[in-house]
Amino acid sequence: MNLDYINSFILSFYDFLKNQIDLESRKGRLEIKNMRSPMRGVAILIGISGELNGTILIDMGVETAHRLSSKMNGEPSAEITDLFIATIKEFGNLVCGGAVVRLDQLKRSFDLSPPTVILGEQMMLATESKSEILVIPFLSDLGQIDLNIFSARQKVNGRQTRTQHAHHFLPKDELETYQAFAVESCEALNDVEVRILRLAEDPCEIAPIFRALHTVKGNSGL
Amino acid sequence: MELTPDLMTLDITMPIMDGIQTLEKILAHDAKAKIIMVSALGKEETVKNALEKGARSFIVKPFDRNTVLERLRKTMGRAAP
Repeated sequence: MNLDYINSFILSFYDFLKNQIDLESRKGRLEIKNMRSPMRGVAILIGISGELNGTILIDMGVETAHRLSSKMNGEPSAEITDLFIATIKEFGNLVCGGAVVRLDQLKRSFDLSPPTVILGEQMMLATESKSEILVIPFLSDLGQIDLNIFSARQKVNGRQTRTQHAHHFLPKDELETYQAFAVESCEALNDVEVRILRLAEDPCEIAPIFRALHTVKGNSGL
Repeated sequence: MELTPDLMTLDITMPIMDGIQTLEKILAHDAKAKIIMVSALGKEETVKNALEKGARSFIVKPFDRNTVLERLRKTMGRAAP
C-alpha cells in the first residue's frame, strides 16, 4: 500500500463526482483497520491484481446509493431495480477504472475484475488478521461513501523493480550487496508508510518509524 | 451472430468473456465489422492491444458527448457537420 495507490483512488473519486455529477466531495480521515467491518447497505466488490493484490469494497448506505443512482441516470431512484444495480456497478467500475488509468500513467500496472454489488446491512467482509483494510471515507451531498482497500501485507513493492537496472553497472559482489540493501530498504519504507498512516490514531508508532529510517540511513553508508 | 449492425460498441470488463475476446470472435466472423471499444480501463497497453486486434477506436469512460460523436463520425467515415 503506498501513496500512489491512495492518491489515484482519491483523485479518481473526486473527479468522477465533480465531472459526472457536478458534486464537490471531500475526503474524511484515512484509517487502517485489521478487523472485520460491517457493511452499510449497498456495497460494490471489485478484485484488483498487479503490484497490489486484493479487493476493493466501496460501501454506502441505501439512501446514498439511491441518490447516486438518481444523479447518474437523471431520474429518481427509490427501488432496487436492474437499472439501479447496473448503475451502482458502473459507479464502482468508473471510480476504480479511473484510478487504474492514473496508476498506469505512473507506470504501475493493475487489472480489475468485473464489479459485484452486495446488498445488506451488517454483513461483514472477513479477512485474516494479517490483512489490512485501508478505509478512505468520502463525504458529499450524497452521504458518506467509503472506499475500503483490502490487501495482504506486501513485503516488497514496486520500488524494487528499479534495482533491476543495476546489473548493467555493478560487478557481481557489489550487485548482491546493492540488491540486499534495496530489498531491506523497500521493506523498511513500506513499513514506515503504513505506520505513518496509523500515527494519527497511535502516537507510539513514532518510535518504530524513527528506528526504521535510522536503519535505512545507516545501511546507506555502506 | 444473426444481426449485421453498422457499428458496435463493446465494453471490456464483462463477466464470462471480456471485451477483447469478444472483439476477436466478432472479427473472426466478419473482418469488416466496425467496433468501438468503450471502457473505464483505459490503460495504454489495453488501448494499444484493442486497436492492434482490430477495434476502430477506443473511448475511455467516463466520456463526453463530443468525443463520442467525433469518434462515431470518424469510424463511420462521415465528416463533421
